Amino acid sequence: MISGQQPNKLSERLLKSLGLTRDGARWEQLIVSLLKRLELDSAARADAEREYLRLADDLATKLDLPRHDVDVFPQGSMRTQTTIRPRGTANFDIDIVVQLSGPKYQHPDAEKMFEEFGRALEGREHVTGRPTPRRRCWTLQYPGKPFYFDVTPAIQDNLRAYGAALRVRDPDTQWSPSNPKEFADWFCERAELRFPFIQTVAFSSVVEARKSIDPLPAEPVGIDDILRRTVQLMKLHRDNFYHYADERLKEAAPISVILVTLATHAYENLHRTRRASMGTAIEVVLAIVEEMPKYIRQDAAGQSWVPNPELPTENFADRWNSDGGARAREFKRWHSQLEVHLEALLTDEYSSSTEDKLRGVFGQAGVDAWRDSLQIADSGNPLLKSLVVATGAQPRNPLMATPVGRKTNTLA
Amino acid sequence: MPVQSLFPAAVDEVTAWFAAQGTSVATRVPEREGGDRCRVWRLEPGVASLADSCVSVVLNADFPATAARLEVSKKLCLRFPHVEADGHLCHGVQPAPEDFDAPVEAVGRVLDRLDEFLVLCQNLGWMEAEFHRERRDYWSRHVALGKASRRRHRVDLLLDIDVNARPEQELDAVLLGQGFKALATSAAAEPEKVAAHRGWTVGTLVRGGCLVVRLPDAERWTPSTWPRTFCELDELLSGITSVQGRLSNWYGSRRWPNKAPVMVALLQGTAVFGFQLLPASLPKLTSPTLLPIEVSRVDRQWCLSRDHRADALMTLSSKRVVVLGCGSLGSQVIQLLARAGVGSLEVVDPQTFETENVSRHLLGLTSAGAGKAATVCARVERDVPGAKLTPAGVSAAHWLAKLRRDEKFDLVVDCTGERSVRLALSRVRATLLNDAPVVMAWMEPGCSAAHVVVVNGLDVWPSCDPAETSVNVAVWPDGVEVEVAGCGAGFHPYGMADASRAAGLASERALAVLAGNSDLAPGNRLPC
Repeated sequence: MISGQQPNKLSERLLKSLGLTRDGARWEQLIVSLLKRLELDSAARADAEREYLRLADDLATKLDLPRHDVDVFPQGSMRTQTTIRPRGTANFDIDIVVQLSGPKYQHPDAEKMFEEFGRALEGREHVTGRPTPRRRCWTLQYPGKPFYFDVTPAIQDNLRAYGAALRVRDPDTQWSPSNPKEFADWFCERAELRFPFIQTVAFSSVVEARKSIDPLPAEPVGIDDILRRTVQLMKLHRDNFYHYADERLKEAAPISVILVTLATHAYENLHRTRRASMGTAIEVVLAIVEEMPKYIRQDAAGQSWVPNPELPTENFADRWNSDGGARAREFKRWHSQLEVHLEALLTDEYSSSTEDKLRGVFGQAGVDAWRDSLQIADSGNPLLKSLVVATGAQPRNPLMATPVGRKTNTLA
Repeated sequence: MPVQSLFPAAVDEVTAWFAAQGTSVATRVPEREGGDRCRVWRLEPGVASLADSCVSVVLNADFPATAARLEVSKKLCLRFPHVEADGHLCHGVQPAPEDFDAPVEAVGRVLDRLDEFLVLCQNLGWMEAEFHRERRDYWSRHVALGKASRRRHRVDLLLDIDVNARPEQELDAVLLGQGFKALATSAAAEPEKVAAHRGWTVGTLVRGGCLVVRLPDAERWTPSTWPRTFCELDELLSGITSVQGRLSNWYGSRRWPNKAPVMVALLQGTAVFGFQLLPASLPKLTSPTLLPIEVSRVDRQWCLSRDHRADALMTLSSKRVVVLGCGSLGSQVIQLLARAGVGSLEVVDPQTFETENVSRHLLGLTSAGAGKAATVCARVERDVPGAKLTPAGVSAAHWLAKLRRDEKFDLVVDCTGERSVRLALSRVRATLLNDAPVVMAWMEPGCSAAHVVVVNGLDVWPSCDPAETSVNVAVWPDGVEVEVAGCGAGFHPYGMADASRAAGLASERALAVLAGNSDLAPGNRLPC
């Protein structure tokens, strides 16, 4: 695949081509504007914040706890500021931790705690929707809102008997350790690392009066936020790549926490070793993508490991070792597709880039953003479309599209 | 020569419409018309193209009863989903009744789907998902396109396997018949014996092997992931089994005789994908060549349940049933029960099959003069994998007299229709049969009605045998029975269609009893 004349690294190949086309800056702008439009917007964010504060008040009353024993904070992509809109009409998944403390939770029973917590979520179904249990959390649909909550009740584990600051219900093992704050802090610390070619943007964080509730991280994500943007880009590509896949394949898709962990390791290492040699943000993005698989470890028994950096006994890739290697192979496939797509896209001149290449990386949202930037209005093949119109046939409703081959006996 | 259309008006309307659009949109290609193809237009590349291949619109002779066809280069098969080996693009648009009045719109719907397809094809995730969703069919295309070497032809595999056993199995395999198929079996018996039991001739006596591995459910199986070389397959199997060199170790562990079928089968859900390993051209220097093959499962679970609700089949497989009488009713009941999955059937009938019963018996002319019980048993056993049928060429009374008391049956089905058998059964059920449930089935003269009586649990069939007084519904004048020159040799005219209904009814009840839900509504119980 790689001829002798070509530089053998994706990033080098691409940068050579980007250098020629001098479109790097425009691509950067496109990527940032696109990812921004796919984030949870500030109004919805504020709304979510209001709702989870309200939830905390409500839970304290129902569980008969002093308000200071109920601590609510976001975890996951909300905390790391790497939210990305799910494809289609699906809502944002906002992960919330409710940390319960006080005498009642000195020696709790996992199942009892979980059940009781679920009951306490009831009573405001008109706002929250019916709470439904999952493995570790309760889902509140919040009908009518652009988001839904996965609310995980957690108990403080002061002695770290389970290995972390918090423990959460696990239907298989009763309790599992959890350290969402530490993990997010680890990520955010590294995301703040800056490369010298970038001006550091000052930011202000909102300070909340009520200390026990962390505000949703609200600092503006700047153009220099390479690690966060890379994580968003990878998640977007992954969601796009698996959008049509059946449930079994979707299950094998690389999970976000693995992408975040690998990318962060790669970013940190790039910052440590090649800080001075990096010329542009795109160069760093490509290098992160290229380096990230290096941080999947194999132990002596041949097991894959992506340890939680703040809880090394927890293996994010645990399921890779009990599925006959399907997830490990799937990671490689997705990763090589990401490289192929990025290469196909970025080696193009910005203005002549074809829509399908954009769609490969960014999905339809990317195509729309690109069209906006070039002020192209039309989509699809206009000639074929007008031909369909000429027949008098009713063009399909694009929202109700039946993919070719579905619900039919084609190839059956 | 122009092709005659079944609905010329519709074809003419579409032809006129295409002509009106002009050659900048589509060009008619008369040289590709012929056979079944009434009209062919090539869409201009600016209108539609797939990977630089032109798209053609084809109207078959029966358009619009069948939708317009789309065709692309056949080289695109397995590069894009839904493209057949001949370049036919399956668009999935179904013909509608309105198409006869509006044929141009019918073509429009197909073009609209084409537009959608071309957009979707820009999304690799969609293409991969489509390839994976219909992976069995694309694998068949791959097999069909595969080329064996000049000296070796492709051998497809019949796989007789217990899928509930270990996820990895090493089986023996033999070539069948002319050598175009091989059988691999996980049965304890040798594959030659299994083949003989199924009535398949064994081709050569060389023994090959088959490595069966369960592919994880989450494993993507698309043209982009199919192993193409021995090394790639070895890598995949090593990953799945966590044993380095899983395939090469197995392949190297035996010295395979020339022409021996050596295969790998990968199971994923109900789909099976197979490879034939052709010996390396330079042994020890090069690897064996991989040839994709078709695999058909021939095991009991697949043949009788398609793996659907396999637990119900397992339960039925453990049941032991005796059928008394193997006539026009009994022979079909036996077959229906065996195909439903009853594991063990004992068939009791002393008679030989006579030619006049061809019209209403499972057996036919080739079985004339043979014992009914033995012939039906052999036939059903050959056709239904894993069914055990034991013939007893004796009368029901004789069989009952010789029955050992420790024999246990889950069900006794009486299909003799004889009063003597019902009388005997009602008296020995509690003792000889250990209270096994009894199903008594019979047909009234001419098969005008059929009856199934279930005697289960505390039920008792009255010793006066009230079949005619309390059960039968028809009243028949004398002389309905057609007389023949023999003692008691008259017959009632009815055919297999009549007997089949009775057999269906009886079998359904028998299966209900075996499943433990034989209770009927009170109205259907006999008054005592």
